[in-house]
Amino acid sequence: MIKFTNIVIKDIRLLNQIEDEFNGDVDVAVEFKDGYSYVISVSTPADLLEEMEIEKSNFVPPYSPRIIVKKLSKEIITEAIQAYAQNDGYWLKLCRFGDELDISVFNKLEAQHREEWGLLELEGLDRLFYYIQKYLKVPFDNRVLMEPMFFLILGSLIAYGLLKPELLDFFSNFTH
Amino acid sequence: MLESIDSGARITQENLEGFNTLKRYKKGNIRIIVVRSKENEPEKIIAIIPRKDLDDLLKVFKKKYD
Repeated sequence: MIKFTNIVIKDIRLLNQIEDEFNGDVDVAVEFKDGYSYVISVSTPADLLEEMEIEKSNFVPPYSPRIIVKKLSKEIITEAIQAYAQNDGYWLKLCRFGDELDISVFNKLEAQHREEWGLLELEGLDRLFYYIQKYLKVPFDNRVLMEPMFFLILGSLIAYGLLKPELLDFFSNFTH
Repeated sequence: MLESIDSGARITQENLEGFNTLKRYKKGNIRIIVVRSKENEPEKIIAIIPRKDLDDLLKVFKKKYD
């Protein structure tokens, strides 16, 4: 697996000709220092509006993220790509790999968010259980079992203590 | 994709940079590469590919098409 710690762009190539700089799109090959390259899509707002009109849709169809620019000039496209390449190329990578991300990535983020969201609703013992499970690093999906387990163990100890009262003699050792 | 072509949905087309004979049709993430029509011959589809493979394919086509 290739890990980019610093994105160094060597070249930006427009793969198709631009007929209207204010209404169109262009496929752009972004080439990196080591020769590796990938293609991203750059569009204008007018292109998106036209797409919706022609498709008779009230929204742009969902497919991979793209860069939107005011004008399809090499200078502006380069400027936009440089901005998207910041922070280890996070947004640039999203434009390239956004439609290939495994849904589990989002499900994990959603689960974390649900957990934080659910915490706001917790009170008293529930909140205590949340922190115990969090620090015990119990997986989020298994945490629901902790509370009944706790009461089951507590109930068992009480029942055991009642059935075998001599067990309590152990504590009387400390009274002398 | 073919259904949307049949229904007359939007398929944009542009000339490919560095080629005189090739142009690109686009629909979402799909790119269709065609050889321009000459004389009475119709356009000829030579590739239907996802956008991500476009650059690599064009490098191959550079050796084959004008």
